Amino acid sequence: MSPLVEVRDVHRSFGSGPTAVHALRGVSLDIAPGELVALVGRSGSGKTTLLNLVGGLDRPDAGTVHVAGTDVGALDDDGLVALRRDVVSSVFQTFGLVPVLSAAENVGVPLRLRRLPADEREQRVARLLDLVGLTPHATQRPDELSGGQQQRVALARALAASPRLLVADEPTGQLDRETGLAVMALVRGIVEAEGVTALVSTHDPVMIALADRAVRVVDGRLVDGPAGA
Amino acid sequence: MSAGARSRVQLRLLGVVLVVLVAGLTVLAGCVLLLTTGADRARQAALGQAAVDDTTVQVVLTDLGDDPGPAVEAAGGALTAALAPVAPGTSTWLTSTVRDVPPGADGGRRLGWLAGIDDLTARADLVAGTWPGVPEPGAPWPAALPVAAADALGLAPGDTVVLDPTTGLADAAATAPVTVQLVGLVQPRAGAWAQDRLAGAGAVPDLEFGVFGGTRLPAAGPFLVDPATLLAAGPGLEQVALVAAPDVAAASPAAVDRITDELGTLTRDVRAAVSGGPATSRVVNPLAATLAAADARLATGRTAVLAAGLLAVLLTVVALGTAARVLGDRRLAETALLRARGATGPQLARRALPEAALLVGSAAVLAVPLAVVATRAALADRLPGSDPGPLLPAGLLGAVAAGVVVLVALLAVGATRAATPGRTTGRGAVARSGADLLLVGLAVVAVLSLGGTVGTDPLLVVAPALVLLAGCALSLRLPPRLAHLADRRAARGRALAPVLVAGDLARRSLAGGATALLVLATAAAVAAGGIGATWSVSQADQADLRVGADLAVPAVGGIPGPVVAAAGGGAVSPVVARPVALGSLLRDEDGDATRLVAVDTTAGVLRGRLPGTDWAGATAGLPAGDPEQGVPLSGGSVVVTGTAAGTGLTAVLTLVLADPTGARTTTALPAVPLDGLPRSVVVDGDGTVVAVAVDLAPGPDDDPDRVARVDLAVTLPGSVPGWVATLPRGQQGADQLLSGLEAVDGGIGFRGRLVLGALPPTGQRVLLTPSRAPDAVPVLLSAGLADDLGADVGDDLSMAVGDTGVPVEVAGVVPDVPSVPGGPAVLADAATLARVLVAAGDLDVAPQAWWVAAPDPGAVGALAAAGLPDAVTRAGLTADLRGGPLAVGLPLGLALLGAGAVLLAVTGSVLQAGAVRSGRRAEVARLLGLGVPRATVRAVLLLQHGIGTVVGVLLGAVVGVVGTVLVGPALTGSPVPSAEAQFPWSSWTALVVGLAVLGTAVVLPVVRGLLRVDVAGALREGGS
Ligand SMILES: Nc1ncnc2c1ncn2[C@@H]1O[C@H](COP(=O)(O)OP(=O)(O)OP(=O)(O)O)[C@@H](O)[C@H]1O
Ligand SMILES: [Mg+2]
Repeated sequence: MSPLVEVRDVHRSFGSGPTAVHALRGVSLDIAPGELVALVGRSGSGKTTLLNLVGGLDRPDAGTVHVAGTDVGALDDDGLVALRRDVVSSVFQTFGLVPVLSAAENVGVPLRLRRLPADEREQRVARLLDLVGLTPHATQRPDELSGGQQQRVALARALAASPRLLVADEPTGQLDRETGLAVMALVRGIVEAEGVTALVSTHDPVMIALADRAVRVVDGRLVDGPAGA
Repeated sequence: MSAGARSRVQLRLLGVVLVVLVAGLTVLAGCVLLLTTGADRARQAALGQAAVDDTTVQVVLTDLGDDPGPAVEAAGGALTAALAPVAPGTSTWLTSTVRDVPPGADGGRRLGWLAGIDDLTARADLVAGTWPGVPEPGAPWPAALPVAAADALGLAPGDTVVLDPTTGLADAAATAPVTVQLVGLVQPRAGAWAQDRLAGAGAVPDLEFGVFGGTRLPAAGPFLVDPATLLAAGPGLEQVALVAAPDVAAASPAAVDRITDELGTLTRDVRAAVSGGPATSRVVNPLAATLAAADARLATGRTAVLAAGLLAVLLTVVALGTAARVLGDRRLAETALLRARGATGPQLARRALPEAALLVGSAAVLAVPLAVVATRAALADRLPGSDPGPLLPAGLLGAVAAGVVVLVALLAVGATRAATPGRTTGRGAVARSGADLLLVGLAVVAVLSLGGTVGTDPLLVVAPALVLLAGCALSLRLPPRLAHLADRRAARGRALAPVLVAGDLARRSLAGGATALLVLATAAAVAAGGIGATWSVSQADQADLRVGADLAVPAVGGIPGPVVAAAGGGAVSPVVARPVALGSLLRDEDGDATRLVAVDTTAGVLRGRLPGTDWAGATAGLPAGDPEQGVPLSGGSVVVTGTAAGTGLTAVLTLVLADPTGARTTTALPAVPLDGLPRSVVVDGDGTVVAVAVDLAPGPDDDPDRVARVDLAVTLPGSVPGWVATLPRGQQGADQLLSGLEAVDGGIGFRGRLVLGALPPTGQRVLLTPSRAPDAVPVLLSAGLADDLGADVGDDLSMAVGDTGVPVEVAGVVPDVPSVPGGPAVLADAATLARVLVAAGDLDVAPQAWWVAAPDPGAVGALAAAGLPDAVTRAGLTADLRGGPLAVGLPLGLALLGAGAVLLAVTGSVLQAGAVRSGRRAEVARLLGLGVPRATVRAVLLLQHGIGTVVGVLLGAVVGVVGTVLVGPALTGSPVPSAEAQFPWSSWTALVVGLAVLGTAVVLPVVRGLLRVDVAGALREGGS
């Protein structure tokens, strides 16, 4: 079976001249369908940069990124938007909730994009909020939620779309151990139950343990295995 | 965001702040200029355009006694002192009592008089001979005569005349005869002879003369002599007029202010000055009235300009507050850091002071010249020829300085205030409700106590600002409610965009933000337009009522209706306009005499606003009685056949002729003896004979005890059905003097028995008319008069027209009678009135004016050429009232406010768009990151901003319309008729659509930029 994600010798740098930052320097990575891959690395090592490329939020400077057979680097802005809508769902490191919408409405955004009937949408939103333990906070707006609660809303939203690929940037970074565990179990469960493929950056050894495999980023290059995490 | 981008955004914001400051300060400075130099220039221009007669001051001394010198000198001193600030020249005009001039060729008695004018050379042109000088002792006085007087008297230069004191006058005995020698002939200059007995005409055939004016004799004069000599001669002076015609238009504003005060006490001062002698003084002071009228009209403009200025200041403060808040938000991090380091609010404000001072200072430096140039240009256009005054009046500098201080403080504090919580706290909401309620309460009180004031009313100045502010506060409560409803609907729907749009509108606070500015500014612009229209229409209403018709021209004796109709070009009605007494009421509370206005109500000439109806409808019931069938007569003669056997009775016939316009003239025929013979009498004049009055007078030898049978027939060309013969209504005992009066069958004539002995010297009058006159004249009363009389529709009243009592019946009440704004007046149908007057024996119904409907464009000139000067059109008067110098304040003040408000409304939209640019970057990145299509994001952004803008503009428009209704009429002063709020829908629509489109369009480039956001980068930043 061909991999769902195919990253080949990808380079990405920011800025130019002497101040340029080479965030990725020749990264290659394949992820098979239904695989849960943990991405580990120190702060600033390039995790988010790689996730953005795989999540269709960014284009590589060199090399190719294929997601579900689509060359991400060749897509125009609208193509990227369509990819994000139809194929990949991201949990951003900064959550990215829409401030004027309540927790439930935020979770409902991908469903509205698909114009799901209201009843169906409400049911699905309620179930997802229940899964992340936020039913009592459904009507609160992001600025009325704690950081951990916002993070869980972001995860519920990413799952709502039933994506083929879930890209989550430190989805448990703001959570206490117990909640973090529950959330990771949830991700693992969904990967298994719905055949979702997932790429999750994390510092959490438990998450690494739950993953099918772990890849490590060091200074913009991939190193196999979780050793030294 | 990079530091460069941050400072670029701040620079852009500072630019907006500068625009707000320049706009606000320019409107403020413009208003101050209108109030100071503008008002002075307006008064100056108005005085410059005023007729000379309206700017003179005259002290008239009579009963001067034997030694008039000291009184004349004292009164002259008082007059000069009062006008000292403008140092006018005073001219003295001495007029002697009437003297007898030696009889002329026909031996008849003729009158003349002497006059001494100290500025004669400026009032007349020398036609022949020399100016009269100082006489040699004992020699005749050198004198000049107007050419017309010399012609009438048959005198030429070189002739010597003795002017004898006329017997019968009070001090004739003390007055010495004067011998004058004619040395010159002069031609009086037009308009400069108002003090002359004959206004410079030179001669009249019938000067009213004698103690009761009972005698009429030919008179000519004056014999113009050296004034000092005439004054020194002592007795025999009838009056001395001291005339000052100060050039107030050229005087400084301060000087005009001072003489306005001085003139108030002039009557008292002059009386005190001449109190030592016998002289009686009278002050004729049109200048004081002119100045007072100018000040009253300027006061209306001043109130409106002050109100506009206040609104502009309010708008500026709101705009600046909004901009400062946005700026403060942008600097929140910086401020928070400083606060964390222990800086207090005042310390932060002090830190921000230099920047604020620099901004406001530069704005003032831009705004003051802008305002000066703009107002000067506008005023030069409206007030040509007026002195522009100082470039920077002290008032302007003071007001701008005060404005600068306030704005600097506001800006420094606003830009450094602590962060506000995103949602209004419970206590904040309660405080806001309280403030809103207080505002609404104040506005209601202000509006309820408006009206009826003259001069500058502080309440009226603050009322517009209060009303608009309260309206704004109230209206801003509406959109969140609507948005909540929409939000709830959208939440139940499938689509994403509606939730995003409605959620945003429902959850972002509007009050205090750019939306509040947009609403208030739109309201101000709309109200400025509405108030302007209200004022403008009110000027037209006032002009309509004052003129009464499209064109009104005073009648000049002898010029008949057809000539007026030919020159005027439209339907013409003769107008009888005279003072009358109605019921027991001579004058109303203000001392105004009741005026009768009688027009041809079928000619459709009446104009003016009439609530609920038009003049044709209102006057439909005024013509009364059967239609009058007169007999056309074109020159030629009538035949009178009368019999009164055995008497020397004569009959004098007076024909009442109506011309095609309905104007009536009378023609008296020579006396006809009633000897049974037909007498043919030539009639001078043509028209339709509508009445014949027959005055029967006894012959010198008639036996007083006799009763004579009188039989009289008048034969007019053509066949005539039977006319009616009546005795004058209201003449006591007439039916005993002339009993058994009956009309002849067919034709015009009567029979009756006359008691010769009881006949008064003027004889007994019999009236022959085609049909019976109505018993009473139906009239419309002005509302004030009906109130004063307590009269209702259907009431019968008695009206005295001259000496004739006319029964009238109240057919209706109108707010005002055309041409009598605000005064007590009676409107009647001219023909009906004339018939009832004729029935009472009163034939004198010559018109005082002509009113023309739909005149030709050149009618005023054509009428003047036809001998009818002084025509006034309502279009012309409207233009004068709207464009005259004294009307300059209100429209310009409103224009300034309107322009400033539009600019600030757009600024509100720009600020809102700026908030979109800075506040939505993260949100746009998030939506795009989630896979929301760019088209959807674009639509959401446009709708969020567009709906906010459109709703803001619409709410502002509603508030502005309400403001127009509530304060518009009061701001136009206290005109008659009272102003009605106007709704200039088309210009309002253009304004609202323009603001909505422009306000929405400013966000387009912002949206385009936002859609190009670096999604990954923006998401990395996080935050909101
Ligand atoms: N938009 C950008 N502009 C400039 N430099 C960037 C940008 N994005 C990433 N970088 C740089 O690239 C490097 C990798 O960043 P990245 O966010 O991928 O790290 P990370 O592994 O996700 O770190 P963390 O665990 O702290 O989230 C960093 O040095 C960062 O400064
Ligand atoms: Mg990261």
